[in-house]
Amino acid sequence: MTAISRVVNSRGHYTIDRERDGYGYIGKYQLAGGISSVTFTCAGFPLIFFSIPYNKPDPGSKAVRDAYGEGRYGTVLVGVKNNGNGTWTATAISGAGEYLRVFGKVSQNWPNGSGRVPNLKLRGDDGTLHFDAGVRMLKLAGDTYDMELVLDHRVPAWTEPTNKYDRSYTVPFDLSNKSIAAACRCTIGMPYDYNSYIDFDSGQSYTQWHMTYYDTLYAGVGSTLQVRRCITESGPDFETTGFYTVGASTITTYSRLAVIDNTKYP
Amino acid sequence: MANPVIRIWNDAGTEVLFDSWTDDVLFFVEEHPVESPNYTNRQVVYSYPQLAGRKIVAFMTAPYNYGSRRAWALPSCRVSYSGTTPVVTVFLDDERTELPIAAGMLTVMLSGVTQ
Repeated sequence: MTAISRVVNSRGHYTIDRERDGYGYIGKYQLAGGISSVTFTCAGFPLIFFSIPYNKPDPGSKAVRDAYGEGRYGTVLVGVKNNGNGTWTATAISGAGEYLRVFGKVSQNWPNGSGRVPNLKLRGDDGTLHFDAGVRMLKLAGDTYDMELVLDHRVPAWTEPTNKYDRSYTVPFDLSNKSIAAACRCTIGMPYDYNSYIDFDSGQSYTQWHMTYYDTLYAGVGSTLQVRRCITESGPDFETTGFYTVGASTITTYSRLAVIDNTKYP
Repeated sequence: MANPVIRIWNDAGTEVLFDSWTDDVLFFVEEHPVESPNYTNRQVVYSYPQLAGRKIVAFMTAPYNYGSRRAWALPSCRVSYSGTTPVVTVFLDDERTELPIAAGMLTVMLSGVTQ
């Protein structure tokens, strides 16, 4: 007897594959805003989608003073850390009230199934559970999996608008109430001369430095995904060991886009 | 002829939780912690001949938390097709010699669509 091994949708895309793990919805976690973290439990490495603001005004004001999206709106996942014991801490930059939606492998997070009966479950030949209809399985809002984002590494000069190196991509649907998975451009940090002074006790001159972090923010405007620069700033930093420069040739960041519909993952 | 469809509703019958005809699902293929001591413009290539003819998706997640990283490490990846073989190229760039490791987690997924 042959069991169901594969189901294909109208676009030739697998929707069930008995030999491969799907991802199931573990839950959503609200972000406090600014740079904030959430901790959650997931067996194995999680796949994380972040909700993006929709049609929020974006002043795109001048460089450096736009701390934490003040002046720029958007969300980005900047790090995922394994705490051990099956818990993870994810850190994001966002406005208040955005969410991280977390998905984990079915085989690891629901090894015995969701517990709902009756139910449709598919196991591989070795008995490993790969699909469970009692779990909200990860599915995308359209075929954005084919879209590659090319994220410019350059940073605006002091006097330039923050939005100078923004990018935008058109997706085949409206971005209202959506979450995305896309890479962070990572933070590019650059120091700048904040203040110079002479210490009269020692007679030496000192320079105070600020560190600026150029981050990535994602936001939705209609069916356009905007990738915005956000500049966050540290306090004065007394000790620096020379100039940190970001070269022009190497660090373009590439990312695959995946979009989900928030209403499917309450 | 109607196509056979697996459609699963919630208990109240008010929401379709799963529709095998319209949903776009991604399946896990493999994941790699990618780490390189050679921080300048390093590339790591993974090839998937067993998935020849199919499209794949790759995600790169930075393992850093804000504040614990200076984030000079910039992991990133591209998907391409060598003939019909899916290929993922991971780029690891870290221009700071003070942080001699560039790292990230690569997750490779299968969409199942033909190329």
